[in-house]
Amino acid sequence: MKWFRFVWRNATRSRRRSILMILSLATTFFLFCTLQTMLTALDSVTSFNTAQHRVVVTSRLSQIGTLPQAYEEQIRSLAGVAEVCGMTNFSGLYKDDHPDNFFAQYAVNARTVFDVFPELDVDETQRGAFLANPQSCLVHESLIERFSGDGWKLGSTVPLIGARYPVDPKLSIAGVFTAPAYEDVLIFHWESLDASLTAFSEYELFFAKAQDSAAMPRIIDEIDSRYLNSEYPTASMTEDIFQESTNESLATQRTVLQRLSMVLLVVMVLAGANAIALATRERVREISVLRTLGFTPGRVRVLVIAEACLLSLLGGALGCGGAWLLWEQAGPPSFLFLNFHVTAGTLLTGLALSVLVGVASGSVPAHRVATLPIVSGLRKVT
Amino acid sequence: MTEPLVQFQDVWRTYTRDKNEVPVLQGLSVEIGKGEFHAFMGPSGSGKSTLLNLVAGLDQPTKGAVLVDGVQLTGFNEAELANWRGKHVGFIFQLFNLIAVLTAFENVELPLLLTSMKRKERRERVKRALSIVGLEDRVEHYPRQLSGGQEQRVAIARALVADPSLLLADEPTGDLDSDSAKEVLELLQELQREQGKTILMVTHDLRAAAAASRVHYLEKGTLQPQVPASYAAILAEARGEKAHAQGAGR
Repeated sequence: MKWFRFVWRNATRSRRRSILMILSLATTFFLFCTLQTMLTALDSVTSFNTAQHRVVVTSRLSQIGTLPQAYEEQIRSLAGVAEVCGMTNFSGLYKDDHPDNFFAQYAVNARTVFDVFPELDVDETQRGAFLANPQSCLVHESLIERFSGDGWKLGSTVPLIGARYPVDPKLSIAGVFTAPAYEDVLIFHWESLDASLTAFSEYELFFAKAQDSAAMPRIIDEIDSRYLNSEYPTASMTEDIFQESTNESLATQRTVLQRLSMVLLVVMVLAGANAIALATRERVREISVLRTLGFTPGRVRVLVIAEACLLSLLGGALGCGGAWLLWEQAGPPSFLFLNFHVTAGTLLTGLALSVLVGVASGSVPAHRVATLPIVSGLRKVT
Repeated sequence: MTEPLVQFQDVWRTYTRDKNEVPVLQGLSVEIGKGEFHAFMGPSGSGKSTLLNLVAGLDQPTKGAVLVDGVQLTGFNEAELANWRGKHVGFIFQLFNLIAVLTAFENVELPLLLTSMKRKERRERVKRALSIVGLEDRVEHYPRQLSGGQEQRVAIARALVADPSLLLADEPTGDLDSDSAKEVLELLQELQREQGKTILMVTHDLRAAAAASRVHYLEKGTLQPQVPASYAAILAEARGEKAHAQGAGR
């Protein structure tokens, strides 16, 4: 007989209780992994490339307010500005309003987008094809994979339905980009949108690429001062701050998720401690017998904690495995987050925590039975 | 008497219950020679079990000294005491106290897991111990699949397997029918006679005490010079013609 077998036999002696404990831990670890996956997804949403010295210019009046197209050239002429790219969130639908069909669509200034966003990695030929055809678009490779069933590939047409703007563009896929920060994004020509609308000539925001980061505060000052008393005042900020403000609600969600995760951890420890305390209380006499046979208090502690760890690890493996199966194999809930993936890091964290939960929940009961006078333990009637 | 293995030197043990001091052993002095089989009798609360606990290092005397093979246990910490017990003492309980989720073989193997013994040697030792108690054909049986007598014999095998010099038996026949009790007592006598084990047995059962080579009587924490006359008669009867045998009084 090996020690593992001894621990296993003790851990599973009350089969119903062991199964219930494992299932309750599995449920909480499943929720924990899901929450952690949400957190990772939130982090990926906010992890845009902010090392490009970009200033974001938006409307001071409203987050979804627009700015005149003429601002683009005026901002470009400021000292220290390398290039400017106007952008409008089209917010259209693909096929229908089912969440599974949601993806982001931006109408951009195609002439400058690659200078302002050099991280958009597109094949030269495909880039040329995109620039040459105002009715074309570029899509992230994740969309090609996601809508392969709809026949998405180079040259195929993507029909969008206008929701915010009264136009239904039919866009030909000219190229595919791979920038990880822009997963599930489609970009197309702002000119084609402008041409379809009367009295438009507006952008939702501008990205001004600065020549260096030192120039950014001055550029922000100059832009906002210039339009302060105009009909379209601006609110400019670095891309970092823009991301933060845009994701303020996500930050709140992140805090809620983190706190829920902490609560779950406490619940796991308490549930585990309760089950282990019950199991050891029933075996006080038996553990005292082991101590008469020569088991030291230290060994008794290790054996009880090992039991708790074994059950907790089984619960952890079941819960984390369940989360991986559900979200990775059965399909992620795309309506919640763009990047909903159970990472290896999340799984490893879950398993490591399951061991910690075992140690935490087993320590107090282990200490109690290891330090109880043997004579008192032998008198216990079980 | 042979060289003493266990020595009680003016041992006192007092417990405090609800702020009251309750003396359990009062100046006990007795020696148990190597290879001897001693039984301790007495009414409930006379200090019999306390005496066993002191020998095993499960309890400490309030005053006086308990020496086992010349070693005084009072200086040991819990871990040292546990290691010492594992090597020198085998316990036999009234309620057998086998681990329900382990087979007979695994129960007997338990004390050996604490040693550095190789698996093969452990198996041989366990088989030998089970064969001594006549249960070599029950190795894979769980306690619930054994009779009371068989369970106690497994417990004796467990007490024997690490080859301790001292066996402590606390009412070993208290939960057995008369036939099983007889078998267990014969086994203990055999262990003393053939393997030279020193045995201390605490019992209420006069017929069990008769199996010992010497019987002591405790009353109110002190050792009486003689067993009560009514006990002596029954002991004599139990021992047949050996009414005046060595253990029937001091």
